[in-house]
Amino acid sequence: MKDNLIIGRYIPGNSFIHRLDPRFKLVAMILFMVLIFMASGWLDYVILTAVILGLIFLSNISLGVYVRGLKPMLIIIVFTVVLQLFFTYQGDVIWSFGPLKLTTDGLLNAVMIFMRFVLVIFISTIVTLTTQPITLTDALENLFSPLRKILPVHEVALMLSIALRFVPTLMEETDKIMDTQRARGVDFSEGNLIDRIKAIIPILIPLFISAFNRAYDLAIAMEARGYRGSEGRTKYRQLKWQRRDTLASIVLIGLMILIIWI
Amino acid sequence: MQITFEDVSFTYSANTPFASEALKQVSLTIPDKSYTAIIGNTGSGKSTLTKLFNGLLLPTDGQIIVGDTVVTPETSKKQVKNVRKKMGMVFQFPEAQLFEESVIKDVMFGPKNFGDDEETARRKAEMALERVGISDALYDQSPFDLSGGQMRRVAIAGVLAMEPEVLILDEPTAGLDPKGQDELMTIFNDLYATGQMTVILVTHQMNDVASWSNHVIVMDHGTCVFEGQPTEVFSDQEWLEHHHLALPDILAFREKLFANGLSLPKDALPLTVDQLADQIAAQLMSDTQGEAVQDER
Repeated sequence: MKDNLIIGRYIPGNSFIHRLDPRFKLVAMILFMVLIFMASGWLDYVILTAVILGLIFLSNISLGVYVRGLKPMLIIIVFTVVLQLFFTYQGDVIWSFGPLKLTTDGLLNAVMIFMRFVLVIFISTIVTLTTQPITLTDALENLFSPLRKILPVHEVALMLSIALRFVPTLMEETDKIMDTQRARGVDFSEGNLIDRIKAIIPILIPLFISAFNRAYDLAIAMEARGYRGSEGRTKYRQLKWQRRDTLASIVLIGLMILIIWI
Repeated sequence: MQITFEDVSFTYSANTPFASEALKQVSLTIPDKSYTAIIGNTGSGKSTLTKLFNGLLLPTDGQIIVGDTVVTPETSKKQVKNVRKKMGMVFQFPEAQLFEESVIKDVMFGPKNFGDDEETARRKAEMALERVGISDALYDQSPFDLSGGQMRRVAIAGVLAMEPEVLILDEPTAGLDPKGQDELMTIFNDLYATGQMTVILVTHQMNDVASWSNHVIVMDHGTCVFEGQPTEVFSDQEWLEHHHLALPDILAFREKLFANGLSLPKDALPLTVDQLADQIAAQLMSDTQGEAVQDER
């Protein structure tokens, strides 16, 4: 199952997008999302689509991978688009059946909603596919560092990076525990809702226990290596703002002005 | 219960870009009531093989004949559950599977899943716990209060309580101290010798292969490259090295004796310390007799 999941995956590469500063990528992603929701006319969407397709091309990862990333969201997209199609009552009526009305406005809204979904998912997928999760947490720590006085920024970033590091490990562990319990006769895909929830207990408890043990071992190992908290630490992975980041920022600002102006 | 693989292939994430072939057209037979050892380098497909034995994975091609059931890529889940009941599987670090509030309940979990009532399950659990040497004083304790070695025994009892016909062990002694390793291996051997169980042992320990098993399967790169007697597999050192395997300590020691000029019978491979000691003693005896004959002249 997890092999087909694109969300949150990182595909190693050395494209222009891969080499951009993760801080820029994070901020740009948020700005892009705002832009996508601000866009109202046809022209806006054409420009945004062209830009995002350009970014996908620059990322050196085939469009198919991005399209596959849409799959888990398909139901939500279809549901919303269908609602928009048949329950918009403004505009000229093209076709109607009882309370269902297909109008020109509805058609237009449906297409726009669809584009919004696709573009938002694409832009976030571009960021996650081209950025190592660990550098993303570095970027978050860096971006939030002005708030150090009121927030434990370092601690939150540390928890984030440890959590990210252990996601695959815990997934593997879950698979293993499921196999062992299946060998003892548990059936995860049978019975009614209550039976199925009960079948989760033999997975959940060992998983929690092993997570506790792992946390304990990790804490001991960190202390043994001299970890004392955020005060006075240096960094191994340094984030460097380079000329291409400045260039990309200028392009982004230009694009924003263009969209708002149109 | 005999297990036969006929041209079995298995591919993980078949039909996706991440597909990887783990087993390629494997054909092998595990005889009824045998003590089979499966050896091979890391990543040779041993674990995939063990998961195919008890239906945790279904073959992508070929068929597996377990007793009188035939498992094919189309086999339904219900049939697989029947196979699973007969196959006890002890995974690596099995103590990770414990979850109940007391030792006895955890061991009863397996039998109850396969349809036993409370009383029968408890009887089976008590028998299994006795077999692995857990005293009844521990029955009502939480499994998480036990020591590592005891937890492993309880986990193994949980598998034995299902009274399987075949016991599959995936590195059962990993991470135990030498005494614990020896005790566990003796328990398994007793099960094989008295309980008439077919035992399948996946291991990296050539010493265990030499001292316990009577049938060996060697895996390499997803194919079965050898099937036969332990004495056969250990007779060709070059072949072993080619497949990244080593000699058991006894045979390595015997090679050193050869290198230093001691002549031992070449064809009779000793697999235990006793056998080797007997061979050396016999050799020394005949040497001294030879000398005595010379002295008389």
